[in-house]
Order: sequence, then C-alpha cells, then structure tokens
Amino acid sequence: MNTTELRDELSARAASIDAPPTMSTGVAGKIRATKRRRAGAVAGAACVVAVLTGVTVVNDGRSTAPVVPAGRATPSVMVAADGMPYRAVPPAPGDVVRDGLRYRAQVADDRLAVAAIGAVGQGKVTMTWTPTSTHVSLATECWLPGADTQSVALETAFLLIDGKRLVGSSCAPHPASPGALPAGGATPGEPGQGWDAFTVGKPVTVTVEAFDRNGKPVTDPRVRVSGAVYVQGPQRDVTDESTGQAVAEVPEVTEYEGYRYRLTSLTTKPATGGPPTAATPSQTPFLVTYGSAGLDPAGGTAGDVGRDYLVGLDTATGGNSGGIIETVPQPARAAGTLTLRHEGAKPKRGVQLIAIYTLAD
Amino acid sequence: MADRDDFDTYVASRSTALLRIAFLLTHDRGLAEDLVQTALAKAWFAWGRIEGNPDTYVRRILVNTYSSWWRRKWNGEQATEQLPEPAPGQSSFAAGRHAASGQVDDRTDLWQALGRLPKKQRAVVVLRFYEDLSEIDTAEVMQCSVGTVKSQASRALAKLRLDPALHHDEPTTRAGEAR
Repeated sequence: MNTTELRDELSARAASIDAPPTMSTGVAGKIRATKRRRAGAVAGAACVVAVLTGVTVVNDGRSTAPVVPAGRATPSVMVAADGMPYRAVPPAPGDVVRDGLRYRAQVADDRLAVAAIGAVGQGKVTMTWTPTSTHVSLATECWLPGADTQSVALETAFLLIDGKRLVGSSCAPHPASPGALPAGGATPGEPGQGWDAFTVGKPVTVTVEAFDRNGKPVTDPRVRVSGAVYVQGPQRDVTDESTGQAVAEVPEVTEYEGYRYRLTSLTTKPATGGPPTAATPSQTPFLVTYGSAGLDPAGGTAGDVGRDYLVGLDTATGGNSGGIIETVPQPARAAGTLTLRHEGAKPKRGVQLIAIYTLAD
Repeated sequence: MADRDDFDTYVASRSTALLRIAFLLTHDRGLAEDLVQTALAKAWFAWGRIEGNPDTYVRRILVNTYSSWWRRKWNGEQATEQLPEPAPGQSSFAAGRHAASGQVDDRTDLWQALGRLPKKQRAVVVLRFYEDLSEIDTAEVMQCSVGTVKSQASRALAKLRLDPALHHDEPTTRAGEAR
C-alpha cells in the first residue's frame, strides 16, 4: 500500500456517492430540533458558574480543591480546547536544532539518540549511531515546497538503517515550520523484545533520503529532509497469560501538550473474558490508553476481531477496532469508572487493557 | 459570509462534497447524511460569525461531530467475514473480495483497513489524502498542532501498511504509542 493507492481508493469510494436529493429539509429539521432543545435546557437548567482556574468543586456538600498542573501557584495555566493543560517546551541541552526546527533531546522519558536536519536542497542526510538499546522509535520528515500536492504525495522520504528501508513519510508541499518535530512514528520489533536488526555496541548508518515516484533520489533544490532515532524510556509489558508472551507495551511516562503524565494504573484482562474496568482519578487531568493486543481472531480472518469501546469517558466514548491501542485525553472531573467493552466476535486469545496516566509534574 | 441567506446556497453547492467526506469517515451512506445534516445545522447557528470561506469551519464541525458520535452511532457496526452478494449488474466494490476465483480485491482490503483506523487517524487520512489539505490546513480543521497531524498521519500509514489484510513487502514495524 502506498499513498497513490490510498488516494485512488479514497477518490473511488467518494465518487461512488451520488449527490443527495436535498439536504436542506434535513438540515432545517435539525436546526428546529436544536432550537427546541436549547430552549428546554435554558428553562430547566440550574445556574452553574465555574472559573477555569482556582475553581472550587462542590461535591456532596463538601468542598474539594481541584488539582491543577505545574504552575498551580499562578492562575496562568493554559488550557486547550480539549480541556487539557498545555505549555510550550523550552529548548534544552541536547536538542538538535537547525533553522528553528528542533528534535527535542527528551520527550517524556524517550531520549534522542541521533538526529539530523538537512539544509534546504538536501534530499539526504546520513548519521552514524552506536546503539545503546534495541528499544527505539523512528522519525522522519520531508518537505518539498511549491510542488503541487498530487506530485508531492508521490515523493517520500524513507529512513534507512544500514540501507534497509524502515519507515517513510510523504513530502509536505510547503516549507518546514519552525518548532519541535515529532519524536517518533514507528517502533520496530516485537513488544518487550526490542528490535533484533541491530546490536547494542555495533555502529549502524542511519540515512533519511527522499525518493520520487520512480524510486530515484529527489534532486529538487527545494527538498529538505530530517530524521531521528529515539531510545524509548521504560515500558511496561502487557502479557498474555495464556501464552506468557508480551503482546504490547505501554510507556511508564508519556507526554501530552508539553506535560508529562505517569502511568498510575494498568488493568489487563484476557480478551476471552469479562471487560476490564479502571477507576479514574478525581479532579485532575489524565490520559487513558486503551485497546487490545495479541488477538487471535475468532473466525480466523484478520478482520474478525470485533471492536473495543471504552465507556465512561468525559465526552465521547472511545472506540477502536480490536487489536488497536489508542490514547485519549480526559480533563479534570469527578472520580469515575471506565469499562472497556468488546463488541462482535470474541477473540480466541489476546488481552484487553486500560492504562491511566496522571500528571507527573 | 456573514449573511445567513448565503447558507442555503452553501448547502446546495457543497452538500455532495461534504457527504463524500462524511462517507469516507463513517463508511456508511445513511450515517454520512445524518452527519452532514447535523454539521450544517450546527454551522447555521454560527453562520453570521464566519468570516471568509466557511469550508474550514464546516469541515471542523464535521470532523468533531464524527468523533463525538462514535459510540452513539457506530456501535452497531461489525466487520463481517464475507461481503454481501452484489445485485445483478452491479459493479460496485461489494463485488470485490470473493468475486472471481479466489482473487483478492486489494481495494476492498484497503477500505476495510481504513475502517480499522482510530477515528482521529482516519480523519487525518481523509483530510490529507482525499481533500488534499496541507498539514497546516488539516491542523486548523482538527484544531490540533501540525506535529499532531504529522504523527497521526505517520501512524495511520504505518497501521495501514501493517494491516494483515493488506499484502505488502515492507519490513515489520509497529506503530508507536501516542504521546
């Protein structure tokens, strides 16, 4: 599967949808329904006034002070649209920086092992790295400003280690924007084992190079590439007790919008059994990592793994196809319970998990 | 676009395009129509405050509504091992997987693999690779950082390449955890 096939698939599927008879009637009906609902809500609602910071939450007649993240001594904690705190991460020693682009020296507990940011016109960068761990994540970026999006999508920068292509990134059709670059996108190897393609202590050559649709190196003077290898921080294995094998791993520390969150609970259950549940913290923002791994499809086909639904989130309920692990942010609220339900065919093997991360700083 | 009279014109001219985006997100024609109608109804209440081209604003509502609808609308959807038989003369994708002497239709597999992406990644894929939005524009629609768009797109492509339903020659990798 390449991006051309992906574009073709999306275009063909979209083209199969005919023009709707008319949307106006349906839209008008929903507008009327919304007006009625809003009118009812205003009439029946109690008056609730809350201030974002310094708020006091009254619960069962008791007044409890909310937990706010670092900077709590000041009322200047920034809150994003999703209700989570956010902040810019300042430069730090060990950052790799060029023209305002930055690979951070540390993201959560992942540490930058090696990185290179090419100059404009440089479609290839090469680094030498002596592995200190086989648990790594790989990042690559490519920019080719000015080209039309259709052709740019066909230019891809690959990160290669000792000449072996590992992960690719389509070239963006605009110049690189100053700021922190993503720390990783793919983690090679098996959960809990790291990657066996290289050996600790034995130097490897890490290359990021842009190729055109014909597989030839991009020589456009506007092209630019970058790449990085991060050594992962401590991970916690998710083990399938029926096989004794690690089927996934979750980081002990993760990061969201500039804040560090630490793993405070990990609940696992066999996918063949009942749903796992997890208690959520009170009045502090947190992250939830949930999903399933190591599934053995009931029907013997890859698609027959059902769906996981996380019930009890503050806003929408998270949902994933089986076999996928996802992280969702949750703003501060009263304590509650999350339940990971499974719909569809029951796998013959595998693990469901709910991990809770709370603010670490 | 401060005049609500323009709203009807916008609905008439953009409904098909919005419906196609919604279909790529939901994989269901009926849900897609419901999603577009709901998004447009929400847009109507803010129409007087929208400056410039309302597409970005409406796309944003569409994607946000899709995300928040996941449980309420999607919990009846289940993958099936076999696709229904196509109607006589029908040349749709549904004719795909089992049509001709065991041949596998890669496009059907890819469509199913897209359906297995988490909602945010699916939205990024649709905006970037169907709508051809730049990373900056995608970030604006999704109200997130450009870095988040990049990482979500990268993870989505990695998941698609690793999807067991798809044939690929890429080396084994697995998508990193969100951070």
